[in-house]
Amino acid sequence: MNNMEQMSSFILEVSGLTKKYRDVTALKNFSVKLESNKIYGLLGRNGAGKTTLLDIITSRIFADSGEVMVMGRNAVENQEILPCICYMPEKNYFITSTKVSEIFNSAAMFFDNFDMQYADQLCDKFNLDKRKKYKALSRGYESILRIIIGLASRAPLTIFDEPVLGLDAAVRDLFYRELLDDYAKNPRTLIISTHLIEESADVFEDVLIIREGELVSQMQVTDLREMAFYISGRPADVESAAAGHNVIHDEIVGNVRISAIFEKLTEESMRELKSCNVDIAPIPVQKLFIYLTDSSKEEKL
Amino acid sequence: MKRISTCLRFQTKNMIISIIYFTVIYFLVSIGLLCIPLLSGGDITTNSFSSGFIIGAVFFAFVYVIADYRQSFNYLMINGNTRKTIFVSSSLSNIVLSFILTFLTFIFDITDSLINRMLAGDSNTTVNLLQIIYPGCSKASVLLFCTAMLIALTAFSMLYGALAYKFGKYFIILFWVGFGLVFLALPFSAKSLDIIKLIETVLFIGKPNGILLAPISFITAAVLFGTVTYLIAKRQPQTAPVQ
Repeated sequence: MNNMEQMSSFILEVSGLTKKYRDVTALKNFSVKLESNKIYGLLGRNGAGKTTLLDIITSRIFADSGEVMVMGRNAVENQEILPCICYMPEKNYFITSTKVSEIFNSAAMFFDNFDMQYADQLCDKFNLDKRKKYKALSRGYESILRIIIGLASRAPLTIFDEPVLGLDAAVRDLFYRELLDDYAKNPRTLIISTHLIEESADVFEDVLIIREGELVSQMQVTDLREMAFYISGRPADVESAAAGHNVIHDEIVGNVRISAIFEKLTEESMRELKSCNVDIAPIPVQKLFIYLTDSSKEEKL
Repeated sequence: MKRISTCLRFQTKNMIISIIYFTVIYFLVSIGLLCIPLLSGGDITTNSFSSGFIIGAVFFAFVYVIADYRQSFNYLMINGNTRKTIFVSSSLSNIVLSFILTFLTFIFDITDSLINRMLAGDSNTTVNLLQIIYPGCSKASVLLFCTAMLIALTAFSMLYGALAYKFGKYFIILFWVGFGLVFLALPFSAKSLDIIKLIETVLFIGKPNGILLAPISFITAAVLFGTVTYLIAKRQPQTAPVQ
């Protein structure tokens, strides 16, 4: 597998993907390249095309046009490539009458790197009873089962679609810690699609933001944070400060005008802004995501 | 090839568990039925258990393959298997199922003879439907016939499973309504005699060595069903999660 991985510096190359469902275009000429050994956050509102993209990457559905290359090879229905991808979808495709332990055993049959010992450790940490049948699991434990399989599979490309659904804050925190811990020991590429952006933003190295089937942004989380800030103050001051900048959101609260700016500023530009008698504050990632995926402000990006 | 064998191992394991359940239930029911005349003090007649087993096995195989299709397709897909691999392993698994059920039929046939010998003192009174249709046929040819028939049946079940996955409840309703209508209309059909003739032709009934030729028809049908199933499955999106 390592030989295949060396063939391309990108573990995943998606180009020109288009997928239509009757009148709805889920993906529009979508292209993206992901590097090996990174954690990617896949963000987008409901219906943005995230699950469609993941389903196409893993050959669960077929694109109308475009190409998916994994480790430099065409991934569509490729029996040599698909076992290198562990995809834990949001929906249930497990056999509900089987026990958790049997699900682990079969995962070990299909994923060459599956670490059963690590899966057992995670079961203890997450308090998952391996003797239980899948159908007896609560929504939260279903998510935990997917998390454990995804982490223990140690697949070169591991994909989680909404992994923390139904989990309480403590278990979510445990998942993020385990993910980072195992990733540090066993680097691989992880794609995590989630709506809980604020709490998972610290886990991601890069984020991909999808809006209406198109890639809006692909950048490092640190860059994303540096580029996004609020300016607030008297409306006239804010208006003059924001002039010429990429304003992605604007609102007036009482006598205060707040503008969200998304732009890489030079030190000189920042000094100019500060001299405009306005307050400058960082934008929480969750808020930034909302502004970036607001289709009514498409022209601002 | 390694992947196909892994999938086959997974599917066979699940299948054997189901066969064990079916066989145990069938055995207990048969024993119960055999005991009724004993308890009522009546004569022990040669109630065949092996002919009953193959009939039960036909229903079991039909239902099992249909039920297994969706869950195997879904589960093997999320474990990194292609549709082609799943199709090949499922087809092989159906062949394994057919052989196991035929083997069990053979075992029940021997058991049947032994029970008859013990209870009625005669081992030759067991009536086998195939021995009526194909007079003078050997036990080995009956087993060959049963295996080929089960292979064709499971191939049809897989086709049903693929269509049910693709079209959902619309196909299921249409199929069973259509089946019911055809079944009801058969006796009234002016051409029903032609249908019987067709069956006789396909199964080589009345022909010399007919029981050895009939498997050719079954295998041809299995290949046909399998080809259509593959054409349906090879571009089938994974759209039907477990409810």
